[in-house]
Amino acid sequence: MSTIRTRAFAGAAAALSLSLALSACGGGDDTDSAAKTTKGKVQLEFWSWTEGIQQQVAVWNKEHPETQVKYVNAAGDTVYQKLRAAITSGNAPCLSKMDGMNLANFAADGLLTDITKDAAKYQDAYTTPAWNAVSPGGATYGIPTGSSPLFTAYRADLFQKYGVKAPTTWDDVIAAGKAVQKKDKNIKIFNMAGEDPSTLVDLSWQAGAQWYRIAGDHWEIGFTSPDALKAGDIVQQLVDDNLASNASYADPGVFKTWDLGKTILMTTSTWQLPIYDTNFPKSKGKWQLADAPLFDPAKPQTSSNFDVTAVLKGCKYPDRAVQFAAWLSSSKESLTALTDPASKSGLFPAVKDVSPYVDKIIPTEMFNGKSDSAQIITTAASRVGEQWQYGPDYAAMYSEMQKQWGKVMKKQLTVKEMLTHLQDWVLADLKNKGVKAVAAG
Amino acid sequence: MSTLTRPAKVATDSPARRTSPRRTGRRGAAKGLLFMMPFLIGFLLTYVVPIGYAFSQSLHEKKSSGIGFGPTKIVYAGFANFSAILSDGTFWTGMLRTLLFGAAQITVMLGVSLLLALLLDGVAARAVRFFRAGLLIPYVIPGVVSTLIWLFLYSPTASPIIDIANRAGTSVTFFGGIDTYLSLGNLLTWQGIGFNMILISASLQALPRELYEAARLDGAKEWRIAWSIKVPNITGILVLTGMFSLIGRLQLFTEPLFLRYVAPESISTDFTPMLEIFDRAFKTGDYQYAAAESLVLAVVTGVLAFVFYRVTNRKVS
Repeated sequence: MSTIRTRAFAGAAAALSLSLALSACGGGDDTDSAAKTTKGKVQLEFWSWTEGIQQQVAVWNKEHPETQVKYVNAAGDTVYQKLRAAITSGNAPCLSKMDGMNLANFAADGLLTDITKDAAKYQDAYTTPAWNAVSPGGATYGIPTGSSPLFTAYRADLFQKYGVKAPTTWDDVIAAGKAVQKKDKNIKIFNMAGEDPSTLVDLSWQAGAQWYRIAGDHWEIGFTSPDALKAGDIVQQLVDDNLASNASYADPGVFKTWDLGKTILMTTSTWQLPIYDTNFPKSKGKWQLADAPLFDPAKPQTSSNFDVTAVLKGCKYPDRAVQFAAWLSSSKESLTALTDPASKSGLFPAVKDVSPYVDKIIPTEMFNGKSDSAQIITTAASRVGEQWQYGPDYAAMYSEMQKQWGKVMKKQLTVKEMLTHLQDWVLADLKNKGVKAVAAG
Repeated sequence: MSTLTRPAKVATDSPARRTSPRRTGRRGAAKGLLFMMPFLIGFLLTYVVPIGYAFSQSLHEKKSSGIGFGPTKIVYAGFANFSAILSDGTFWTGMLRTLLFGAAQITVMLGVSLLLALLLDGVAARAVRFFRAGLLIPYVIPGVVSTLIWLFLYSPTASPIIDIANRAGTSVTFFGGIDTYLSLGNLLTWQGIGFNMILISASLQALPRELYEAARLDGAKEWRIAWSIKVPNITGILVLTGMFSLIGRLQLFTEPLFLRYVAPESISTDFTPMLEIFDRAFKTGDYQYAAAESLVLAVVTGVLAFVFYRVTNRKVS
């Protein structure tokens, strides 16, 4: 009932705004991407599943009577399927939370609105990699919401026990892993989950590789470039020397791997900070943060995932939608509330200046106080590699990689073989879809 | 009986009535159709229309242009998806894996069910009721729930069984190589024994007791009665449960999907045809190819069920 009523209201609002717009520009519904200004009162629907966002929507609605946002909690495993279905049947929300990979996937399927012109004025607030994540192929389809720059957390107590130092480079990680196993062969330095090739994505990003690179009117595919193979080689060494555990991140007991000290280092990010308490009851206060391992200390780079707010196909007021999304993720008012641990959002801003928000998010009792946690998080946020791009078939490629990743973990396939396969697979897939792509030279 | 009633029928047939059978026939057909409507509507809406839609989807494919972002076109592709599936190694590997695994698991499951049904057939009525209800419990528990129960028992990090084994100084694994199939098979067998046992048990009870009496007079012992009288007389139900199980196995989905949570290296996203279709449709958004895969799976299942039925039925007669 309530949805019918709100839809009727939205319809009335649309009619009203249209009549106002008609007098202004006399236009119908042109389809070019020129920024149009919506006048009058409108209502937008926004799907998200981040804790604490709903309260921010309420704050916005109070301050902006002309753009009322209707929050829908879309938590669940099937949200992307639901979004696709809603877009197909024409009753999709104007805005939805997504991750970078799905934004690219939706954009490639023509399910998003090109907001390049409306969004341009907000670009300056966000970091370059964050803006890349909402602009696959150069056109912008959303506004960055949050970032998760990668850094390291390790068991300081166990590092001391086994006589190893916190690693600076990935080679150090391998060396430390071997040193630890000389003392106790059951202890692993790292974890790689069999379902989750994101470890390789992170390493490739950090190594400066570009699996997908846009070059004018076509893509250059580089799964087998020297940088990509360098990243693959680290994974191969971890596998070959049995330096990594293989706990699945979907396993209900996964955090015991670290809490019981079987694995002693992990790459982690801001979103995990609020859940340390629950996940590591036994190892509280024994952790220390460090910068993410590097490939080249002269060119320090880390990787990040991005939360974004995408503008979906059929959104009638993209200018207002963008205005709201930018306020949510860049205004001091909204970010101060969302980065407060009380909001439980786990959100870390994607804006250039994160310094006002870092201190609060660190669960101090988790760490032994010997590292400057705030400094490490700020550093991570500032050194996210700017080269990473999502290609139009990134999701399908990821799914193909997932199938092979398990075999790599079981030593039935080498990382290089997998990357060679992905290179061919992506080129063939893009060609089949009618997209221009060549192998990177 | 029929020879007695037939003359009476002819006698009451009056000429006036004889002219009307076509009308009553038509009215009867209309009435019959009316009674069939609830079924027909449901059948059309939930079977024919979706299958037709899937078929039309399967004849299309999605095309992008330029750098691949922006509007896409769904274009007619003829049987391109189907010919791609024919040479799709992962799809057929998944199919073969499911079939081989199913053949082994169904044999064990039905064997155990048959054994239990035969045992129950031999004991007192009150005990029968107790055991029958007890063994049916796993079947009554929803598949997702029972999978979750086993998932915790199998989990490499949370399993109490592994924990106990470690404390005892040994180690057990539930996944990797043949272990994966044993673990999955154990779960499916646990779920299926009770239901199949009930079906077999019911058909055992329908056998005329005189057969046993005759056998006993000939000096047959209980196990001989079971093997030579009971089993040959219930092959029909064994074929039927075998066929149902086979169809169920080809559609294997929930159990591996959840077990993948704890054993992603061993259970890939293309482990069974259904998992592969799910991944295609909902992870990568390639509905057209997934629709074609679904139709191929349906045809393979249909053909196998038919062949299985014919072959086993011939053996019976």
